[in-house]
Amino acid sequence: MSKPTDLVQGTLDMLILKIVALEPMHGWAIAQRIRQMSGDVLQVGQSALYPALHKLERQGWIKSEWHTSETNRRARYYSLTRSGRKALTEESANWERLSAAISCIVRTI
Amino acid sequence: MFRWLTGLRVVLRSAFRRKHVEAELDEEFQYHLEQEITERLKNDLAPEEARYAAMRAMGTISKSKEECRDARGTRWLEDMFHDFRYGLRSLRRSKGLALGVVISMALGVGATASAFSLVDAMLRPFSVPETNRVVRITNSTPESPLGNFSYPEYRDYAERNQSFSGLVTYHTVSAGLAPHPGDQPRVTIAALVSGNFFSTLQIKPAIARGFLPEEDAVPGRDAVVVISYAEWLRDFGGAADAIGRAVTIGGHVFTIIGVTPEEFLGLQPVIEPELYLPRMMTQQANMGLVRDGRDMDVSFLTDRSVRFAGLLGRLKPGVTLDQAKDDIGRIASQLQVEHSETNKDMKAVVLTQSAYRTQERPGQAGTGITLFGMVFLVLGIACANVSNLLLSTIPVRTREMAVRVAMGAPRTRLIRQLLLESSILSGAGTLAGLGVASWSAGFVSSIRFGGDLPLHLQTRLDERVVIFTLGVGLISAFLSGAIPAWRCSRSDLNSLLKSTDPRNQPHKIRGRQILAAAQVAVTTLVLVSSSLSLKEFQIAATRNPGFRVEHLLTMNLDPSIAGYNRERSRAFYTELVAQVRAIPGVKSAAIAQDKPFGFVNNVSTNLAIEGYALPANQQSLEIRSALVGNGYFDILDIPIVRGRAFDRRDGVNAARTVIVNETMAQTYWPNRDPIGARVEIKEDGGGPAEVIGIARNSKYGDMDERPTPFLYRSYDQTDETGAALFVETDGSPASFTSAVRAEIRTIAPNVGMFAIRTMQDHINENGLLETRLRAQVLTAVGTVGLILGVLGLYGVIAYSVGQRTHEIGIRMAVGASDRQILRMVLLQGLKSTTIAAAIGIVFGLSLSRVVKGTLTYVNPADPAVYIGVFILMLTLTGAACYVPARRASMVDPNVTLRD
Repeated sequence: MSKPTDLVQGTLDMLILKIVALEPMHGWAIAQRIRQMSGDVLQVGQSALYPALHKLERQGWIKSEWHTSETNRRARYYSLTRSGRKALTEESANWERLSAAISCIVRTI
Repeated sequence: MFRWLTGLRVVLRSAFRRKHVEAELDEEFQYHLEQEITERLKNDLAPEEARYAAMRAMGTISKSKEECRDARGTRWLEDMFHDFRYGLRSLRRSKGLALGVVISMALGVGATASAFSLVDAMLRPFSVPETNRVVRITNSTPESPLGNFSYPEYRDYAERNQSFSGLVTYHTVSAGLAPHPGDQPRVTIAALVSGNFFSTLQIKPAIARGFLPEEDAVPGRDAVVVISYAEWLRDFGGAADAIGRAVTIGGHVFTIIGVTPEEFLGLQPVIEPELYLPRMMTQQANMGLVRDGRDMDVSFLTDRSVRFAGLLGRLKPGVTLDQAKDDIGRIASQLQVEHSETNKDMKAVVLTQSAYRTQERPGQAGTGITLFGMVFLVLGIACANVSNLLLSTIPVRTREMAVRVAMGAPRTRLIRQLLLESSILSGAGTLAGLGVASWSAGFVSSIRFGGDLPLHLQTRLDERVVIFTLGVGLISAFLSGAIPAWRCSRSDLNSLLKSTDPRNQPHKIRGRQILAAAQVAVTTLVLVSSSLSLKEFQIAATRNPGFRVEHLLTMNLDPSIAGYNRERSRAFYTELVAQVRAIPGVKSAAIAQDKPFGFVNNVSTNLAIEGYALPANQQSLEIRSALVGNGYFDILDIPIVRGRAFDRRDGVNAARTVIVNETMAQTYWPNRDPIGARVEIKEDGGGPAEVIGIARNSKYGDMDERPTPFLYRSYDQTDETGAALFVETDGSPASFTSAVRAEIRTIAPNVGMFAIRTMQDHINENGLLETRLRAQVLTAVGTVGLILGVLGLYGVIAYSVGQRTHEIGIRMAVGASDRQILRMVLLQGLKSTTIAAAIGIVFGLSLSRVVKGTLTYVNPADPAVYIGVFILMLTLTGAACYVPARRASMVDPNVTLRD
């Protein structure tokens, strides 16, 4: 099982951007969603998640707002900004190329 | 773009709404925890168990929070705020230190900024748009390289040149101004300018307008005046309705049409005209020039040899200085051919404003270099003081630093903390220095050189001075803060924390002693420089100018502004002299056109001497001259070595007579007796004049001048109306001021009176202007340096004594007497300061070449000055060492050893 710290540098950022691109989401839900979507392979703990969220917010790729959650509690919801969307497109394309290249090498050897 | 804005908002929010952001962070993590618990409750765990499991799964939250704070990128800012507050707190604990640093910085930075504003006032270009395109043009002969132009010459250059978008003329005269109807006229300075002056120089009037070209077309027709901003405030309170008002200038009514902008102060560093008049109004404005009953004299419009106008031009766009030089040089050669009688050796030279200023006053560069050299040395002393003060806090601070390092603070953070603290201090010091500079600029600017006339150094705290000051402050802050910060953060942790009392640490004080010794050396050097200029001034001030200085009251009178004609003013003077002589305590009284060292004195007289052939290359003989009344030689105590002085026989209708000085007699009548010889005064038209006496040489215009041929003419035989009155008194001449003034008011209420002062004051103000100013400025700088240097030294000695209390206690415990301790500390201090002072003296001697150019009477290696400074330094440093030494000798071993 892959631990978050083993994620390729910058990959967590891309995953977060990808998740919040679907809909505004709070931190816990983002972590849950990453776990679900990766079929329990990727588990992101709060120690990695929140610093990443705060860094992305400072970079201006996501923004945060306080909303009432499904459990009727105030929670901080993160959503993608316009420049975040652009960054996500770029990052995804980069990732595609990188993973294709790695797969290529791994298969041929 | 938008992305950076979002990022910035995050940073600012974290910085300024820190509590709010922190609360949000807490809430976010709390929510996460609750979600984890809820999740586990769903798996049928007991609430307590679910809670613990969730917390275990989450790990250490505080570390994550810390990482979040870091991720927000505002850490440095938050730290900075923290450090700042911490710095303020620790400074509040040591007020003495803070005060010492701020005062040192204020004096050092203030002195530097003041020197800058002083030099700036002398070298600042004209405050006009694109001022670097405005150049000076001078009429140059080998004798006078910066000569003026006659009106016909100006016309020739203006019409023939291809390089200038305009040429303007400018010259200043004194004029009597009565701003409101019925006012007593006062004497001020007027600039006579060509009609294109404001348009070509692009001077935008503060209100209304400048001159139109047609207002400078017909002599005496357009009586319009543009007043200076200062005059507008002075007499019209800056009111817009000043425009259109009538003022009386030189007895003629002029209409105000505009006000110069505030920043424009004229075209000379010291002379600030209050009035600008069209050149065609020269006759009306210039007091004493319009003679009664005669047609207006407009000969200056056609006479090529009457040269009084300064010439300036604005270069056309794209024209280089060299092109303009060639162009003007070409016209000058044409004029040499066309007007060989007046322009034979005349070359015209184009000079940039700064080249003109440097050539005008060649001694200024030396003074400027000396001044800047000195203030930078003083700044160095101040920085060393600050450094030393900060270093003295090291023992206390090191322990604090050691604790912080032990708790994990990075060294960079500590250095930053210390630099920040010294920046707070330096910032306050720089601001205070700006205050010092502002005060000194105002003070220097308020010194009037010509009594009531607008003659002063135009020092001001403009944006360049402010920027310079802030720059100097920043550099000083870094220089004085860097060493202590580095030293302090470098301290050895273990030994420090182990020691019980940080003051017992054998701290290296050597660096500080070297610094203090360097201060003493530099202070000595600064003192040498200021002592030399002070001695120069003292010698110059006590030098005999060749005429009486004591017991004389003088003033200038201008009857023309009261509308007096020649005859009436003569009658006025005769009555005045008689009445003043009758005042009890007055010994005698006399008049002359002006005082020696005066404002309008020393005009040249064009002369032909019978039996003297002009050298081939010279067209005319110009001899400096004065118009003096009867009794002038007596009252000024200038001996007539042969022949006689002027008396009643030399009245208006008598045969013309002149008196020459010794140098003139020797120069032009080398082998015969000048008495009875004939000379012809060209401009007078009165025919030949007879030499009736030879007067002893004296100084005429300046204390520093060399013996020069000089001619005295009888005042009665000229058309002058303005005059200076000399009153010889018993006792203090100043005490007769009101009596003489009252006498004048009784005889002639409306006659203009100005520059009322004792001869001694007059000489000090006019004959010694530069020497005095230089001596005052350099003495002020020297005093500041001395105060800083001695205080710095005292600080170091006092500190080192404080450090050694324990050691001194031991010495006393084993038998040293308090006298021995006193001797020991005193000698140790004096040994290094004596060496340092000696080094300063040696440096002073080797640098004496720099100040040589500014000294006339004093030998730059004058032993008396050096010995005096050396003794002064020994005395003061001795005192600075004695006080702490005495304190050391009073150490009680019982107390210190028990600590």
